Amino acid sequence: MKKAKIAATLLALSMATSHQVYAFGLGDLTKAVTGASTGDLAKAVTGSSASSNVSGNDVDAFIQTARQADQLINQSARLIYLALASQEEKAKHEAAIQAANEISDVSEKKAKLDQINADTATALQKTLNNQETVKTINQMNAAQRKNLAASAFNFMLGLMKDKELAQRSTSLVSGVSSNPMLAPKLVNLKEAVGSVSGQVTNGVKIADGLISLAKAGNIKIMPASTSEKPMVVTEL
Amino acid sequence: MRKKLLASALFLALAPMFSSAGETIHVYPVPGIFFDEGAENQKGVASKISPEIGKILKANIRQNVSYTGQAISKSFSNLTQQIDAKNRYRTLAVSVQVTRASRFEVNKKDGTRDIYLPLTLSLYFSNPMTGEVLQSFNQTRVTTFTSTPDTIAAKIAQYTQQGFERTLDELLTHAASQFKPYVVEAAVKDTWKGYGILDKGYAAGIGKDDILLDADGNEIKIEHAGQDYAVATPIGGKISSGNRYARTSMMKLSDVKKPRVLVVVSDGNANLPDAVMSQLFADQLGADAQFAVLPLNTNYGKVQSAIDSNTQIGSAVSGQRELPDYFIRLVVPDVVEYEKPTNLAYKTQRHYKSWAFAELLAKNGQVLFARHADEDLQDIVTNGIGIAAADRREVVLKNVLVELADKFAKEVKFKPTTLEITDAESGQLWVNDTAQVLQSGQAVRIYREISKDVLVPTWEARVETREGSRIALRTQLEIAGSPPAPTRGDKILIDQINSPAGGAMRLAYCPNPKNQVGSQFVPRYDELAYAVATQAGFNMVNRSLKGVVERRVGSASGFRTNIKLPEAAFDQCLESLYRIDRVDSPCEGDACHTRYKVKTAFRQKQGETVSKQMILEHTFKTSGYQQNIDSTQLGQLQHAELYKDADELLTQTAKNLFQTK
Repeated sequence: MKKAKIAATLLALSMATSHQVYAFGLGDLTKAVTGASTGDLAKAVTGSSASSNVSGNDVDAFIQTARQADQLINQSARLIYLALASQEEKAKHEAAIQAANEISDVSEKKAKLDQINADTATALQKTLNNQETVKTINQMNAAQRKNLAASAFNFMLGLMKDKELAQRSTSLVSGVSSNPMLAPKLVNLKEAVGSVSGQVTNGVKIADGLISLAKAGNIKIMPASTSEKPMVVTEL
Repeated sequence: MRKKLLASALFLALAPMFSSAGETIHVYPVPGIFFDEGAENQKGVASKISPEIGKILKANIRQNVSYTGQAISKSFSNLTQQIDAKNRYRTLAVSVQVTRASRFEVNKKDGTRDIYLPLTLSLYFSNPMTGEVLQSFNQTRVTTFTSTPDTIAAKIAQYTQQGFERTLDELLTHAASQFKPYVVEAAVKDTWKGYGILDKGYAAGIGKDDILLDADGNEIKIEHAGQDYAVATPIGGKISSGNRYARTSMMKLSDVKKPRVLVVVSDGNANLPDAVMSQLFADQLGADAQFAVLPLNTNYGKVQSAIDSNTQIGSAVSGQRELPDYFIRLVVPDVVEYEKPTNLAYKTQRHYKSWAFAELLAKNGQVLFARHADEDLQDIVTNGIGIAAADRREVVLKNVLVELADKFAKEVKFKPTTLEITDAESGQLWVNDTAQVLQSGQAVRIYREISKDVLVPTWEARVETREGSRIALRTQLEIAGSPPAPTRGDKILIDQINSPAGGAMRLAYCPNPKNQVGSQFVPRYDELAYAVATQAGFNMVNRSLKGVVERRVGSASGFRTNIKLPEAAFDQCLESLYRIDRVDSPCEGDACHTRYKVKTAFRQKQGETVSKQMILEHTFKTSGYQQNIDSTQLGQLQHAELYKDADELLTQTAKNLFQTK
């Protein structure tokens, strides 16, 4: 229950802090997740829907989107974490990243960074469950709130991309497997699929409150207020 | 030219270091903790300290005072526990005030309660010799916890105490990082007709209305500051060449030459203390604003008497510090909120709407600049679980203040303008004012150039009439000493703000007690109509400024003990009336809305005669709502949306009236 409350805080933040961010409010999230929107996001991830006719472009787009989602999620999870963490935790986190970046072996470095990302996700989950977090958010200034809201939005965006990707991945993989021309792309594709499903599992842990709120159903949008053009009259 | 600029920039940067070299500024912690419970002269200002929480803090007062003393000594070096003849010119007093200490709770379905304890502490640095409040800081902390009803009282006591200590620590850490006092010392290099000409000006940190002291505690007041000179007059006594005066300041050098403004909250709300709103507004203005906001502690009198009774300061505050020339009046009423059901039974939409107005006023009540803003927050509440309403109210109020402050920082432009006196004859003066800078009734100062680029203010004069670009003024009072009567060639210096207001006709808003003509009542309608009128181009004056300043700033704030502002003069009244009637509330399925016929009117009146009027009418349709909405919530929704709609129609009405010949 506490978690849901904090999630609501994050969501509401993204709706409230500025007009720019407001445009990405709950209404849009809901639409995007349920696929009712014809917005850019939906187009980007469902560019071609016929699963039997998989083209090289589809696969490239998929991998591209998966990488974007990966980056979005890791980066925004990190930013959300940093926005909410204590000075000490922040310093520890930065030190770990720096240490990882100094590793010369590429695969070892990647493993280390992946581990840091996973740790960040776990720590963030904890932070979001902490009652102190609500206070931290309450004490933020407008700019900090805006940043946090933007990160929260990016996180949701990454997660939604992943969700769409996960749904598409099965048909894509089978499509690629049945087309020898696309065989060279299979390794990258499988790797991307792996990252996508991993992200979804981890990400949902963090965002379950957010996503459940957004997925739970469509709130009917009521018409906005309107007024007619005024005219000059002589009597009140 | 460029070299000169460079040199003055260098001087600007180095000045505080020069003047404060070798000077140790001591900090004296004023014993005690002060509670902002609304001074007697501030009738109608609700205290933000709940009796319950106030009692807890006061029950532990010994512990809290000693904690405060220890915390201050941790944050500041150069502490002193005494103010006496030896250190009084180099000592600043620091005092801690409880500005808000309240509680609210939310009952939960499982029988427990969420308790919220918002606490705001303020820290003030003041000059114990002059009573000037130099800088202020606020820190807010909301302690939240969940409790079963039987343990609430004990937990509140525990958390209040904890909250006090943590908030104080945060406040002091922040204040200590911003604590950069410096001493400006200046010598009288010349005297002229009872005035002293100092060898330093705003580049060194001396600005208009500052008070400086000599080694014997004699005060002088700055009447005018140039870049590298200042003109001072003695407060009782005499000023002589060679005398040295000093003052401790905390104002940023870049702010010293800016016109100074006092922010006064005339209409506050239940959620944010006035001091917090003023500070938030001032902080948000930032360094880019073309004016500097002076800190205000309306309870300063208590601090000063604590200093007097606990130290050997041996000097009484003269109470001669002038109010600044400009004021910003803030109106930040309570948040309007309502809850709308949705098509999902377990979800509701909670709306919070804030509205705020700010105006920049000259001492005589003339409106120089005004803006209003509104903000809107919507929360989705699932199964009754949403963010605490008090949190959201605070956020939506802060957002609206931030928006207003941004407008002021970006749009208010002060342009220093000089006019020359073309004719003078027995108290009657004439100037050519082609740019229409002067307003009739406006008080201005006449300056004499006593040597190259050294201007001394001599007389105050009032604008009487305008004939085309030719303006007639009448001299009123000498500024100080025995200055010569104004003559041809003397100057008038004024800060022109934005574009001049329309026309010479000064309008005051005169509320009509029968402004509601139709069936629907709009709360705070006159406030809205006034806000709209001040932004329509009219030359408006605010008749309430005098009362607001006398009541809210009060004599206990370190300013003049006897505050008197002139009555705002005006030529005609502006009033506004409205007629709103409900037409119908049709529904399509379960989605309904309400339609209204809305009329708003502005009338310009000379006595009881209407000289000009404008009435506009339109139909307004509220946003949609579920048919099953609670009637109280619907009422709030309709009020909130009608307010916004009346705002738009009034704006158009005022614009049309302004354009009517």
